[in-house]
Amino acid sequence: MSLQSDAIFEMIAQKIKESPEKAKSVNGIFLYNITKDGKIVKTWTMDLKSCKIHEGTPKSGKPNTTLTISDDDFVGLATGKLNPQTAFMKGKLKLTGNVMLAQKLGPLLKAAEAKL
Amino acid sequence: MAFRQLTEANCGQANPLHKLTTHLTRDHALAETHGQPFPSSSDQLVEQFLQETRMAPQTFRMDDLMREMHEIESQRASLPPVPASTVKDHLNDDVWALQYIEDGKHFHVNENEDIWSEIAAQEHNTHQSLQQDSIWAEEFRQDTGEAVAVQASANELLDNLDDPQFQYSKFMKFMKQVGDGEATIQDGEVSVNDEAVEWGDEYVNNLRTMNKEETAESMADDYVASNNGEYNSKFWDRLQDEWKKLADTEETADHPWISDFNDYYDTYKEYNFTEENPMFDILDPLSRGKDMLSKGDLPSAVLCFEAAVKKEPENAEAWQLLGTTQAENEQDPNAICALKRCVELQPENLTALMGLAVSYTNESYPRQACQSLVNWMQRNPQYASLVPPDFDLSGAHHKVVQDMFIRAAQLKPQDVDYEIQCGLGVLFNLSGEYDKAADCFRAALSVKSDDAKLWNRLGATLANGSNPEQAVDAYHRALNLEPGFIRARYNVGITCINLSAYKEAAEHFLLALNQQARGKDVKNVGGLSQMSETIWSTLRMCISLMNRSDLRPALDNRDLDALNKALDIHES
Repeated sequence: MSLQSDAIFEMIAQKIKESPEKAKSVNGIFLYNITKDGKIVKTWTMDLKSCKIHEGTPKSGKPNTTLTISDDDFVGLATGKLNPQTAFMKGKLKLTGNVMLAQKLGPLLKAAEAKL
Repeated sequence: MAFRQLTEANCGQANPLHKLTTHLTRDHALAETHGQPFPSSSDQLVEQFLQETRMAPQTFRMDDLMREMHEIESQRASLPPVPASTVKDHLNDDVWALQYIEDGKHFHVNENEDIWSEIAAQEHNTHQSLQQDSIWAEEFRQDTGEAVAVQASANELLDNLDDPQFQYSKFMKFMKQVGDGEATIQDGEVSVNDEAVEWGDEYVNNLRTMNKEETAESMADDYVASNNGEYNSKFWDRLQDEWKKLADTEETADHPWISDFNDYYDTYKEYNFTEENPMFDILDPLSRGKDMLSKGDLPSAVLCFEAAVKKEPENAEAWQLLGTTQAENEQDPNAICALKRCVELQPENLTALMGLAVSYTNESYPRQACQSLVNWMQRNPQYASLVPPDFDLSGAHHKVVQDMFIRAAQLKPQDVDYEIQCGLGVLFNLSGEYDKAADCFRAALSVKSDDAKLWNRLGATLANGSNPEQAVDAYHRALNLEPGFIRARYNVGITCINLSAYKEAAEHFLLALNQQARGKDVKNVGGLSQMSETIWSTLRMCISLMNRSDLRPALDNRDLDALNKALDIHES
């Protein structure tokens, strides 16, 4: 099943490949549960310690933070339409685990940022 | 739970306590076996109980408690932990003492390699303890003040300690010296410093000859003996504060312990030159580049400047132009490389420093961006005085840099310095205060309304501050001034994505890419590597969001023609 968020994850993977120190600065393992119509349809793992992004659960180690968000909202986060804090407040984004690390993730996710 | 029946006011029901008392009062069997130990009636029991309770509150008398606590404290202060009597006897045993001396001599003689490696490991601890001790020495100096009082307390300490183990320690010798007035402790007295340092050195040497376990033990004992409890806690408090600060600032990674780690990552070392640069055999690439720049042909200008720096690697101006042009060409990584090279050759190049700050901000390196801004201010003759001479960014938050720039702006309230405003705008972008940043850029534009770069920065600030409509206006102003401004066009595409207008976004990206591909020389050879990675990856994302995965192969092959056709872009 191809979701819109697939494109976003690919873009982030590309970004990390180009500049791995951005990943290292966050240095965590994140598990994303992408939902559609209320059901989890895909999981992605962002292993920033080893700079890898892949589908499914973490291959080695446990995730520091688990995020659950719908496909559309995730795209909104990446494209800048949805603010991460707002998403969390409204309950569109659910977090368990190390919340601090998730905050560090913010800038990495912003796929569409205007350049000064 | 059992007490609930006791405490609940249930009159009439059988009270278990009462039942218990009946056992005692009316249990004749008990009375017979034990004589008459209990009062025969419940009233007498109550009497007895009340008597006892009257005595109980006495243990909660606070003043008594305080007195006792004071006693304990003063005891603890004046005496070291009193060893158990058996141990004490053992210590007083001369046999052991002699044996210890023997062992000490042994180590002196042997001096194996192993010992030195042990010592090396121990050195680390030693340094720490030295630090502690020197901190103690300083505090001791500060806090006591009067030499007489110090002498008195030193003597007191000596009197209280008559364990032979303590007598062997160097610390005790020091205290003796203090007591004898040999080493006076006064504020600012040089002799004490030397004494402390000397003593420190002796201590280290002493440690070398001692047994490892002995060292730890004696260090611990000395440490315990050497303070009134305050200095100990003061040091640990300080260490704790440091850790707390570290934990708090961990997010900003400004603490020296963490920022050192960040410093190791320096990806922007080597500039990525275009492989086949058609501009290479031109006579004066630098001036041709400037020409191209004035015409607004950024990609060609880049090629010219690349040729220029290859010809003259020490030409700072060429590097600077290359850097700033690459930034406008939406190639920040290359821009950073070039600008760094320029600053190496010409540290006072303000344009390069400001450019670095902007590019670092775009690439999410806030610390380096702040550092560049500080360097900019230091090198600027007008504002250099505002930077303290030994300013160190490692512990500071970018708020400090913000304040510096605000003060600089306030130096000339009527006359707006657009560079200062630009710097402030960058800083506020870093801290996420987009409204303030937008104000700064507007102020800068009020004095320099024809600077396309400033319009672009304003637009980007507005866009990142979730204000896409105003952003688009600013971008259009920039593009009107400079139609070849790749970065501004890229930003327009970004804003389209923010508004979910994916098709329009893709169109803009393709336009930008086309412009970049057109960067050529007189021979009309396109430079493929001039195209910006950021634009390509964003375009890819855009295509996916448009659900046009059929264009994937064209994307992978960087086939601009196919993409143009698919998205109906007409190459003019």
